[in-house]
Amino acid sequence: MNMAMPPESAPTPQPFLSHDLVGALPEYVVITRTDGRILWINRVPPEHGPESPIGQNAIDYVLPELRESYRAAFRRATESGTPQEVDVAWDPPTGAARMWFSVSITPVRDGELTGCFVLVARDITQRLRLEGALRDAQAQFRVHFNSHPLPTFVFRIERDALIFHEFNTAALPFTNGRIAEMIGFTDARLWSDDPPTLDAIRRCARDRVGVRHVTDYRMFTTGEQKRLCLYFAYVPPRFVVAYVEDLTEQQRALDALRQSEARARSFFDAAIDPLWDLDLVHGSVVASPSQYRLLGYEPNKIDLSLDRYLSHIHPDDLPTVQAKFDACVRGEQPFYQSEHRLRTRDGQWRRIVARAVVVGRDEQERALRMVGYDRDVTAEREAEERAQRILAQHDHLARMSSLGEMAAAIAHELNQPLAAIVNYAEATRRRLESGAVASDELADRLAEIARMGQRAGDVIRRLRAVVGRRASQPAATDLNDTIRESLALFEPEARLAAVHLETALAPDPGRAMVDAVQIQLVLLNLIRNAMHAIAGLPEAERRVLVRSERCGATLRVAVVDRGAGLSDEVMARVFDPFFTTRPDGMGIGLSLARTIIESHSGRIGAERNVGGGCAFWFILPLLGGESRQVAE
Amino acid sequence: MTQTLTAKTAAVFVVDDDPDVRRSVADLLQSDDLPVRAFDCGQAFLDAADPEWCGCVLVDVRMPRISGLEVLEEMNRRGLRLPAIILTGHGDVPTAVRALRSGANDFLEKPYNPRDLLDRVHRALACDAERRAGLELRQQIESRLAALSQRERQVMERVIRGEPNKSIAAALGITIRTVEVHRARMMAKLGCEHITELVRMLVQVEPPG
Repeated sequence: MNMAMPPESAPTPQPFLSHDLVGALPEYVVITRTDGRILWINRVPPEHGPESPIGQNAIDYVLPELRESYRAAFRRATESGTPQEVDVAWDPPTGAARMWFSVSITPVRDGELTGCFVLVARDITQRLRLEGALRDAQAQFRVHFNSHPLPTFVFRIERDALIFHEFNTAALPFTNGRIAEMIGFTDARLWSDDPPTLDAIRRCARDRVGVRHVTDYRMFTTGEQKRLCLYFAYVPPRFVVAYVEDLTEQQRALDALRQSEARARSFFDAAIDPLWDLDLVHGSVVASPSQYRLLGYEPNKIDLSLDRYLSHIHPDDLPTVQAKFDACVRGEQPFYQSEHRLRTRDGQWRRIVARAVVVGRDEQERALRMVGYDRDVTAEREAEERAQRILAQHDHLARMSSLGEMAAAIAHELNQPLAAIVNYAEATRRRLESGAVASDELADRLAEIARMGQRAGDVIRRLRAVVGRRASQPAATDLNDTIRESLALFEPEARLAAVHLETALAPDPGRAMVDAVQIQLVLLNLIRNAMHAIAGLPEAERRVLVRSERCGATLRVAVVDRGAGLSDEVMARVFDPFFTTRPDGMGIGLSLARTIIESHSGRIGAERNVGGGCAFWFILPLLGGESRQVAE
Repeated sequence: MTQTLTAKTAAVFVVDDDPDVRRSVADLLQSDDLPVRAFDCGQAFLDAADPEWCGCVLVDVRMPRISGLEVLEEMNRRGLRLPAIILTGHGDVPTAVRALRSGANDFLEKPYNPRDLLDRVHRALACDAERRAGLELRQQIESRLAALSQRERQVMERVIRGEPNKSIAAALGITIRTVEVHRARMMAKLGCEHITELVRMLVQVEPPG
């Protein structure tokens, strides 16, 4: 190289090649001095603006964060004496978009320009932009591919086979994650025992068309037998994408449907549930064999008339059954449904659920024919009742344990003064026996004993105060709702005890400002007492009536039973704490009830019914026009 | 049985936080001529407790801060061997088991019959007296054993194993005559006249096995 250019004095260097030739190069050729200042440049990029770059330090054209690698390239070039490549970016002062250059740095080792550097900068902005766009497109494709809900598999078309190339995220659970082991498998290996599918994917690759193919396939990965719908799509230049839709569940549903249709055809003949077809005009019944067996007859051995059928229904249930049946026949109800007891021919009681519809009416809308079934739910109901009995026991235990805790606390409180009383009494007795007691000593002991008696009384008073104060959360309440909820809690128990719970609720119950839970506790106590009172009566008389009546600005709620009633003496004491007539009673319920009702500014009482039994009632004030709180 | 409480440190120790109960129990015990020391909480009792005390403890299970059971457990830890009767409001099985495990000798459910209480107290006192008598005897024997010289002790150990004087002499490298002298001195120091008496006495100090 022969470059005649003085380092300092001559600012315009002599071109070392034809000036025009260098000027025509697509790259920028720059000569810098040792200190980096630009001596010469073949041409100035249009983005640079009008100012001359000559005399500027070349490093000023490099983005600050890239300067370190730029300097390093210079150092490497100086040390090695060979050209070094470095990529740099430049933000043109004209405000044009950032430009990228790949710069080759060569130190000049001889001639006049010794110590200078020749920089050849290639504009790579466009290339980087294209690379970035390609990367974005690829990333986008990957997102689509991976988020596609169908398991998707990509095959690479090779000369004589399709090679399993990759798969998306949905393919992982579909194959229990084992799909990854199969990358690189040929199509022939994947579908070795499924030639039609192999044929389908090859047709897609060969003819460059989409192919839909349904196959029953034993999964290579999991061994499951599946019905799959495969969509093969050709993706230029050399890929086939397979989307897989799992039709196994659909197929199963379809099979089940077919089966149930077949079942329906032989329904009547083989009915497990007893079926009947009633001719309402003649009162005759065609019944399935199972219906005969339910009633205890040989199938088709007797003439099963409506009257005979009705004679099997429990007399207590008959009026209800008849009413529901008639309502359906008259068309007031779309179907007849009833749960009642049926007596079999050998005298056993079965509990059944019956359901039927009218299937034919004449021009006057008279029902002609009715079809239905009787389902024997005896075992189910027994199981339910067993479960409920267990639940009731749990409930009872839970209530007893909280009462038990309370009782233990009370017992301790009462035990203390009682212990003191018996101690003093015994000590005094012994002293009297030995004759060694002065009368003032005796008087002291007796005073102590009396004081201990007072202390025991205080315990009881405190207890009532505590119970009355506990967690009162008054809210405007429809007491009819509270009554219904309380009765609902008793339903299982009532059914077991064959007690009829009845209501006669006021149509205008108004609202009372009460703690509904506490009132419910009162009702539970009253209802439970009533149920105890009637436990010994014949079933028809085992009735408990809960009545609510509006009396001016109050609501009177009564729990009425037809039990043995209470004597005057008992009636006078029922609300006393710890008074009970039951051997297992604690005598807390009614005392608590009174405390609760009185804390709600109400009254509670008991009275004898004219016709026997007794009624426990309470009266609570109702809210007036505007919401006002009843004294707590 | 009041003679069991002749020692000046002897008493029925009543621990109950309820002043009414505490005073009435004390009155009951005093009506039976039993000396009483009452404490209003477990801590007060434990602070005052002395290993020299004899008698018995009557402690309520349900007390604030330190429960009756905890008092018993602490007594065990400190080696206070007074028999204890625990009074419980509800004689449920878990409480009873825990009480007996904590070292209670007895437990009494409230409400109790006061005569029953006195009976149990006397039983506990008798038990304590017996324990203390045994203890005293042991201490006596131990002090007598301590008075033996080393030689006398060696001779004693072989005598109770039934070795004749001749083999003792050979084993200890002394003359039979010397063995006889040591043996006579040993028996005199221990206050025994016959070898069976010696064995019975030593069994009380160190139970066999």
